[in-house]
Amino acid sequence: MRERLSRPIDPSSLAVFRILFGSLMALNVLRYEAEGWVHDLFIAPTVTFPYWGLEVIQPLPGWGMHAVFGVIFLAAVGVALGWRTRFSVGVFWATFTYVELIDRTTYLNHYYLVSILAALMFFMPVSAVWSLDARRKGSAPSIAVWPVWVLRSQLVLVYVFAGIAKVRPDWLLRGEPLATWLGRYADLPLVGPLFAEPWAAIAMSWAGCLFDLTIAFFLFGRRTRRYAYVVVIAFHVLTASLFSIGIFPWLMIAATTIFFAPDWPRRLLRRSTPTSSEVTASTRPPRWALGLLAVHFLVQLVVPLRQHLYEGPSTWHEQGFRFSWNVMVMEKTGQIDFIVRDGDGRETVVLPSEELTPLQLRMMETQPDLILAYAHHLAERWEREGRGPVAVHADGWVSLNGRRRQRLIDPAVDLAKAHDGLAPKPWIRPLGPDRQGWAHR
Amino acid sequence: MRRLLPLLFLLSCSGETFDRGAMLESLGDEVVMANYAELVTRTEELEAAATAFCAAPDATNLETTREAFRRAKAPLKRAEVFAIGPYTDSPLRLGPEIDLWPGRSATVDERLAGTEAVTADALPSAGGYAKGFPALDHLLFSYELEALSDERACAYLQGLTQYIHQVAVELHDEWSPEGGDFLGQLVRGEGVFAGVQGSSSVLIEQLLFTLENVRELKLGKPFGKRDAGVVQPDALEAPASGRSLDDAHDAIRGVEAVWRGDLEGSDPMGIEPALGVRDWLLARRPALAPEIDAAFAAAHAAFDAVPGPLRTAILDSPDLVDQAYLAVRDLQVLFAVDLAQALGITVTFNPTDGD
Repeated sequence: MRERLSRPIDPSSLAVFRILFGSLMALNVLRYEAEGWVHDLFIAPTVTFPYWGLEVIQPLPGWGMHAVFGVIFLAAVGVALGWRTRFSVGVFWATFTYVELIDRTTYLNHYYLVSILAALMFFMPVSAVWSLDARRKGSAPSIAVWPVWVLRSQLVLVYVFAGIAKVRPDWLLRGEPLATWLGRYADLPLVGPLFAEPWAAIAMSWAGCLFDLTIAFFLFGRRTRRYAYVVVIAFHVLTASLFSIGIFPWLMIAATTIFFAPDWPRRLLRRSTPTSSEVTASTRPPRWALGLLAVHFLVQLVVPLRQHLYEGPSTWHEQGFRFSWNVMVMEKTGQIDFIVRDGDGRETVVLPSEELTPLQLRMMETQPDLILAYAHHLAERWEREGRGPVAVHADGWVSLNGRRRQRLIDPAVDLAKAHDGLAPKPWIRPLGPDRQGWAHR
Repeated sequence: MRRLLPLLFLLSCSGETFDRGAMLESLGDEVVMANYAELVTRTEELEAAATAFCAAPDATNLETTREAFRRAKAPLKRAEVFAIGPYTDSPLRLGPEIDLWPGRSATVDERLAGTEAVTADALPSAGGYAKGFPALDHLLFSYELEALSDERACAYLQGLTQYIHQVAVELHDEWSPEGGDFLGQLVRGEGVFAGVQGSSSVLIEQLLFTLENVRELKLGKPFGKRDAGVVQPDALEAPASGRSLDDAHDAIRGVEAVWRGDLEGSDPMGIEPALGVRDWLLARRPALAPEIDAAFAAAHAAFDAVPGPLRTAILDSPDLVDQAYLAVRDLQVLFAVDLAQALGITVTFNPTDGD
């Protein structure tokens, strides 16, 4: 196994992967600053929603977050240029992951993927050629094949789990949430009426599901690879033009180049291939690295499956939903009131919109663990202000994938006394049938 | 490809569509401009009434002025649902010039007792609490005839009404296609709006914002919902005139006008085809529209059942005030959850990435 993973290959495809990855990440930082999102997402909030057990991770005060994004930018540029690459990748991973762990409301699947890819790249000889490091230390004529297979395997997992996540009645039978989203474009000339057709959403849902489930395997096939990559580009450009999903389409278009033969960039540029077939010793995977990779992929297999341990659709209760490649599978709208009841039975209605940012509010209203976190925050606030102890109840309504609204949280439960964790949350109301049957008119 | 084009055309013709641009244009004409035109007319009448009162200060003229105040506030409160653009954004930011509420009566008293100019020319540079409808609410209804007949009080009264009318005209003109054409930006999805989709989203967000505002600030706050049941009379929107409940009700009427597509009674014969959010919903999920119609009817009934003014109702008829509060909440839930879902509106206020 170790020998097979050590087979020498041209390092240029891995170099292109590094250059594209670093460049995209640097552009993403610029985009965040230009849009004012660093301020809106990490400076403006007065309340944060840290991950369970990671409450110690908090945003830096003042200009600290701008500084962090500055470091991410420089590190990303360092990755793209291949300047002290391991250091650059390490700094990028640490700062980027720190930012992603500050607040659950900012969770995005593709940023989770970015963290994973950066962590994997840290251990890889990604700067063997076409880098400042290579210019400084000399280019390696070849590298072992294992990094390419690791990246391919990671992308296979992302696509396949994203496809499995779409094998749901909502997606396949009702064409939701695509029907809801495509309906936004119903008044576009020519194609608009097509988007308004229910069958169009169902057809696109099936196509999307099949794409996710199979594309990686077509990318593996030597004969199908070129055509599959054209489909990758078409699919992701279409999603980029229809939906606001940031760098995800471009990241996937860039990342899937790793499925091509390792020397594809050199052939494309008509540069001579390296003559030596010797593998630099340091690029052979040490045993401990193989062990680490085995653990990583085991975790990657298990984590997305955990959502199936909970009863009911995870799109509703969202237990085990994050880190599971549930990409674009739900549209939720919600409205929630919090009622704080003091020891004398007096009630105060709390509007979270007065304290949370618009994004935090939108996320919190429909995600039970965030609702619980906010209830705990209110209980602590009342306690801190000398008005506690109090009971906190949530009166929240949510609509999922075109259904009529339903209660998400049991309003009788005192959330101040409920605990977060991996155990099923009994205070989440199960998703009932769409009682008026008007999910589709 | 040539063979596919006719097929694509046929397919594209069979889908059910709704022209949001046409809806925005219709709302602009039938609701926004019609309402601001009414505001201009009513504030002009208010200014004229104040002038007449100061020329001949008597009980009749005072009551005429007070009645003109009440009538002028209706289009102002209905306009809350489209309080965007020139109303909120710098450099114009006309909203606080005309309606910074709840007011501060002490500021008005101090201004009146002081020596600073109180004419319309001086008011633009005055603080927000010294001008606009909330200041006029206190001056016109807290002071009796004799005090208001005083030369300085009358000058302040005339200054306030004149400035209110000026701002109303400015608001109208900034929206008007013949003026600042903010309406054109909204209809075409230009300027601050990211396309017609962006304009439509802002419109829905304004509906939600107004409903929450009515429920929590106009009703809930004075009713004590935000303060462990302890009533807060200072939070009343129009405490002196006793118009707080009507203010809230008019804001709901503004939401309903955008929902229905026209101002109530503006086109009783239905000659002008008007399009509202209701028509948009009918194209997407018709089953929801009657439910929202019924919720509006329930809200109107609940408001009508509250014996005004709100200052006394929150003490004497808490159950009825609570019914009105809950009726607005029902509307809010319907709009924020079901309507937003049906229209595919992601209420973001902040267009960050998804997934």
